[in-house]
Amino acid sequence: MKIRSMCASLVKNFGGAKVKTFKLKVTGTGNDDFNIEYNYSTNFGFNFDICKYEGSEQERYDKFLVDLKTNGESGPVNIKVNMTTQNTGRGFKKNDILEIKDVKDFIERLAR
Amino acid sequence: MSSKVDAFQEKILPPVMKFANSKVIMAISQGFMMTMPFTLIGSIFLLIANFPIPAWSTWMTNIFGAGWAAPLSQVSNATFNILAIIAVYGIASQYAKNEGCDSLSAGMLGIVTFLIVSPSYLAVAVGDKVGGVVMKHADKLGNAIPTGWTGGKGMIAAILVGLFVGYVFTWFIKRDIRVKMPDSVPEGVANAFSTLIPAAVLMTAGALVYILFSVVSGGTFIEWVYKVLEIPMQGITDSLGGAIAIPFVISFFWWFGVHGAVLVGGVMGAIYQANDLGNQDVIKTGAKLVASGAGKNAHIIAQQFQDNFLTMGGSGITLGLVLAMFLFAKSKRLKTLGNLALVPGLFNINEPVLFGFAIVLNPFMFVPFIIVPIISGLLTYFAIYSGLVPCFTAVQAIWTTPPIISGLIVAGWRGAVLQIIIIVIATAIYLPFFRIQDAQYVKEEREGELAIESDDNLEV
Repeated sequence: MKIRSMCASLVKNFGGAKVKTFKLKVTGTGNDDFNIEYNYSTNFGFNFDICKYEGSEQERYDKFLVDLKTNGESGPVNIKVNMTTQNTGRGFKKNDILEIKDVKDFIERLAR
Repeated sequence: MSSKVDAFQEKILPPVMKFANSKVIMAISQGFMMTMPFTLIGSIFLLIANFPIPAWSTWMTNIFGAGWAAPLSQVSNATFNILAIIAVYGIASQYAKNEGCDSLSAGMLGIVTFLIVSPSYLAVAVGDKVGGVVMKHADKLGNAIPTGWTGGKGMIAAILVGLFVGYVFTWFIKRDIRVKMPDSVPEGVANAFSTLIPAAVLMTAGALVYILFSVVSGGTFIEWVYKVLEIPMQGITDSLGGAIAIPFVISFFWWFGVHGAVLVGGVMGAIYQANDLGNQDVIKTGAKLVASGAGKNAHIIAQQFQDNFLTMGGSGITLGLVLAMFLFAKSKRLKTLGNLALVPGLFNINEPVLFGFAIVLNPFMFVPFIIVPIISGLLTYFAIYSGLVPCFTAVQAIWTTPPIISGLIVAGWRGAVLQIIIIVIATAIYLPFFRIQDAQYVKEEREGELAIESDDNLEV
């Protein structure tokens, strides 16, 4: 029985899921009124699908962090910002995002 | 390198982001966007009327008669000659919108205030034709809105007026200092009444400014801003220093993950347009554009400089990197990325390369990403300065227009040739960095395959 080969094959083909490139779109009017749309791509960011996270903004952000840690590629994350208080797009390192646990801190961090 | 990057991100980026996300810069950059469709479509009409092939004009004249270009000029004049009015509306309305206030009223107040502080007469000289009549002496024709001040020359004044109106309008509305109507009144009516008090204040302020400048200088606020602010700002940025600083800033901030082109475009947009329109005004007089020397009458750094020569393939002129990947990649990752990125790259879209290759926050790609656009800026500047490539006019090509086509549109065949040269140089500079990265990926892919092969051969 080739147990290790089966595991290796699973890792090769799935790894839980294919490596994902994430793109976030942030809209809203401030730190208390915002919406984050999470998108992922498995082909270097040429086509994106919406991540189906549900719950409050914090709950969805938590799920994103788990997804990013498990399946996110090592490169930076593209963040499109279109808020009334800030609208300059950003790119954050994966590890920098993983350190930010609170979604409101994440929004504040976009402006710094 | 990592500690320097972290130090920069902690110390320098926050004040830059504060500036970029300030109410003022956001209102300017978002408000100025409103001028974009008019400049682009107006450019098309201008281009058709002034196609750089003499045979075209002859052919059109033969078909439609001598005045064939008049309707086309009517369209382009109607756009370029009122860009300052569009800009003041856009900036005032966007400021108000970002503050959660009625943007339409703020925008209209911006236009009214701008016109209050503008000249309201047309100065005519001896020999000028007015309504078919040749003037025998100089005069000022009243009750006119001279388009000379509502286009390029009024750009900086439009920003100042737009911001002032946006600030004052929202100050009153947010403090509820307004004529209030019952809730049953429709929103449009309520907004109109709400505007009465700020409108009275702004128009009175405009009148006082008009009186002040007419008494002190014999002119208007718009003319004063043009002389004291706009001309020096154009001079500072329209220089060799500007040709180096602009591409540097775009790439530098993009590398740190801040959208550099938006940052620079937001600040420089008004100057770019003013330079383009200034050049167009020279052409209208029948003179040729001269970029250097004693007869200098043209600007070099304009919208086309950034859109079509500094950001070909996207910021960093990554089309050179994409071509290197497409032609020479050996790793599966970069072969795939090169194939996928080629078509978007030709349309100057490169986010997948910036984040997929990745270039952002990748120390290894810092040098080519910064150097390539600077070299392009220098080459373009000197090509125009020396007269090898013609100066830009009001004819613009949207930033997603593929290189070579965009060069043809904005600067004729010489512009297209310059773009080809820049792309070749970009590819040559990116190539060695790409090769090293590619070799790294080949090694990782081979190790990954070997690991899986050895697992496949194991038996329990």
